[in-house]
Amino acid sequence: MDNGASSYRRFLAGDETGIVEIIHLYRDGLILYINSFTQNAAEAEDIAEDVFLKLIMKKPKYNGKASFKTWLYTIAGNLARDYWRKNSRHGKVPLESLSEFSDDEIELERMYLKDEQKIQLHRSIKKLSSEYQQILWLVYFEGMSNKEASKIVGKSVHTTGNLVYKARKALKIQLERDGFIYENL
Amino acid sequence: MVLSMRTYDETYERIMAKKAVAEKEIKERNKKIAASVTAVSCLSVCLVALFTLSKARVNVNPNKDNAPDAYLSVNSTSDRIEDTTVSTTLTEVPSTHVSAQIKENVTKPSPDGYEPTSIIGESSGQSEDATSTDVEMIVTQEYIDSPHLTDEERENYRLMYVRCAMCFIDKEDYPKIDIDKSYIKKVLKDVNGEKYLLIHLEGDVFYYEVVITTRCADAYGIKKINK
Repeated sequence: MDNGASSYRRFLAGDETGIVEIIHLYRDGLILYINSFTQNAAEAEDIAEDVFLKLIMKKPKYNGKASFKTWLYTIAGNLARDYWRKNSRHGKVPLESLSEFSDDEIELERMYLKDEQKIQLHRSIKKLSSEYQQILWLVYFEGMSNKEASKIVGKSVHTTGNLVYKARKALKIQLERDGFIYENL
Repeated sequence: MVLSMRTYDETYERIMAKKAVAEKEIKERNKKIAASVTAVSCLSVCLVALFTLSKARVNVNPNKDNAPDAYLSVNSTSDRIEDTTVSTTLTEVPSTHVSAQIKENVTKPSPDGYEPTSIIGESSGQSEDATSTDVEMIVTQEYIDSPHLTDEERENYRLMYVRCAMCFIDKEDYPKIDIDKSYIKKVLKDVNGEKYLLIHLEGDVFYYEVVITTRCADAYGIKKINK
């Protein structure tokens, strides 16, 4: 399984269905990941569309050094960070995570995560800081290694490892508050 | 509509609509750029023409052969533009032929060493060119070289570096950063006599890799050298 790399190569060769396949594969996951930056599902969807738009307009080369998924999430992370920089100055991005879930988010997490236990885990993660949300999304829900996640968040593997450790610790406390046992998840 | 209920086809259509808008914007921008280039070209031509007039003496002889339409006399009394005196006399005459005699070579430097071509150089904004050259010297960051950036975005990052990111942060263009956690990654080359450092900064939420001047590093007490 190449996670969409062959679809993207076909798209670069002129086959439009390649990009449609990538949208099918990554749209929902990207929206949920970007939502950890924006705390707003509609904005997250807009940025996720911009990620695909960037592929269509700029046709950047994928060199295969990292997995296609890591590469795509790196683009998404950079666009989300740009959004955060632009909007945090004007107070458009909440600094603290929002404990309330919009209908959009609830529907989206049901579609993407499916499993009730994963949904509960996601709910608890959403109560953590934005930085912890981002890293835990990549590690828990996208199944990335610390090395892969480090490329996306733009940190060294060592720093990313520390961040994952601290985020897990915070998650454990949050899960206990929410009435779950961390080890069972 | 709840966004998650959108079909993938609908998402694709939305993206293609955005693409159409973006392409239209690019076209309009290109048109504006083309218009600007034309205006600059015209200005350059005018400047050269003005310079030529100031350096040359053009005589039109109304009595030669079939007599010209007009009589034009331009006399330059000095090599410098600001000292130039131009006198023009127009006289109605019946013929169509004009003979002109340029008495001075316009491309030849004037006695005070003033080169005609330097007018064009000054008008094209040499200071910006110099900045671009400086920026090239300090582009080492992996992020800037990553393939997903457009040329325009890449250039913006480069310009930001030259401005010193610490000063940039001070102006609140970027969120406040906890600089105690920062460390110097690499010492970059001098740019215009100012030494620049590539450092990592860990903020409250994000992690940055920025270039700052040694002066700012000293001011903020950034001393921890990683490499």
